[in-house]
Amino acid sequence: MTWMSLTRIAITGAAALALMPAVALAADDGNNLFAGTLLQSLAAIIAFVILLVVLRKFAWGPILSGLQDREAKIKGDLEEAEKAANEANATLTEYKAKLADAQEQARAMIDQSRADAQRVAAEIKDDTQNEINQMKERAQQDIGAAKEQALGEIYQQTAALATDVAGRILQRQIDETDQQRLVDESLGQLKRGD
Amino acid sequence: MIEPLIPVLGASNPVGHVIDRPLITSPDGAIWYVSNVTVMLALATVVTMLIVIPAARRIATGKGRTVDDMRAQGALANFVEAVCLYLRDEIFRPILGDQTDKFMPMLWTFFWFILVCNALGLVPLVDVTGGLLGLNHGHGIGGTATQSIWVTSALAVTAFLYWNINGLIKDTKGYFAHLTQGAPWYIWPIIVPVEILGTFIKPFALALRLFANMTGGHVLMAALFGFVLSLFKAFGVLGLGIGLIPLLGAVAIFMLEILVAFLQAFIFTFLTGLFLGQLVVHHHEEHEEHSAAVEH
Repeated sequence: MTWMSLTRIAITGAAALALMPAVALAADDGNNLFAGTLLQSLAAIIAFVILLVVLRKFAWGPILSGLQDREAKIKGDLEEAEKAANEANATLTEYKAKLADAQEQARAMIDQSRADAQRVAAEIKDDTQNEINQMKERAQQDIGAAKEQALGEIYQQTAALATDVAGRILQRQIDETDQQRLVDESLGQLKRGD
Repeated sequence: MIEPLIPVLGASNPVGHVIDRPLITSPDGAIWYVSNVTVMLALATVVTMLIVIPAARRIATGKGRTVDDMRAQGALANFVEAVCLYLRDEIFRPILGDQTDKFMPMLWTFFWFILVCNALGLVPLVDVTGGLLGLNHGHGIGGTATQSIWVTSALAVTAFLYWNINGLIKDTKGYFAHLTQGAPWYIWPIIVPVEILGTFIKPFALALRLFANMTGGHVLMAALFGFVLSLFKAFGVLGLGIGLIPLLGAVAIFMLEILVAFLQAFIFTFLTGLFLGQLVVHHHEEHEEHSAAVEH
């Protein structure tokens, strides 16, 4: 059975259904609720089909494509927004990592600088200390040398003086050689006596 | 003062107020070339176009792709869009799924056409043209197209053909398999005739429901208005005072009729979509489930 024959059966059936009450009540006084003829059905179908064809072209088509466009745009925008949010998140994470890295580096640099400064300070201090020690040593040596020299000169003077005094006492002049020998002797005694 | 209104309210017979009357007939009066209903059908067609087409221009995407081009602009466009979108997304997408957009033009046409026919019936054209202007032998020109069983039958047959043809094209084997409802074979002698009967009862119910709803409310309204007039005739001005009661009742019923106009347009469209959905959606899954159930 094809749908064409089904269609025919359907139309006949529906028409019969519609006709039944009209036939039954046709004889009443003009107040028939079912008043009408098949032409009114035909008019309804023609009106409906015209409306369907016209609206399909001028209304439903544009409306459907408008709604579909809008849905596509909303979907696209949402996807884009999601993508943008993901990208932003990724960038944020990246920047956070970079920031943490930079902070770490800065801290390391500060630590390094502090260590360097401390080391330099210690070096300077050591150098200074060494220098001071050297200067002190040199000064002591100088002092020692000067002292010895002075003492030597004092002994010499003293000896000369003593010899001179003794010569005067002894009323005789001692020669240069004797004098030198006496000086040396007395120096040696002096040194021993120290 | 109220005398001129008497013919308008047509108090004598509330039914006389709502039935179709011929305008141009064959000489013997058996064929109505043009009747009130025909006029209202034509008027409804034009009005529907005037409502929907200008709105469609504003709903459709504009030339650019800006936000303004993407949205409906203006009250009319938003009204039409709200209704169309509701039917498409909330009502028919759950029933028809991916195929919704394919069937929407037909379903939208049903809804708007029936709605406009129903709504135009609430405009007292018959009373103005017949009662006041005396056109068509005082019967007037106007009425409700969907109040004629001939019109609702035609719409129901159109819907019936639409869902059955689509069902047959979509899945011919499934269409006939559906008649068994997946029942065991020994139930078939009962279930198949019932299903076949049901197939033809559906459009019958559609036609009758729309017709009865449109007729009933209008008859009630005419009867209530008739009471006002009867009271005036019986008690004079005093009757007019009492007549306020049925008058307010009639106004209330009129409000209800506005709701019914929308509701019946919706029900007709909804059931058409529902019957269509039963035939074009999930045929295979359903019958596989049934056959699986039978095997167990």
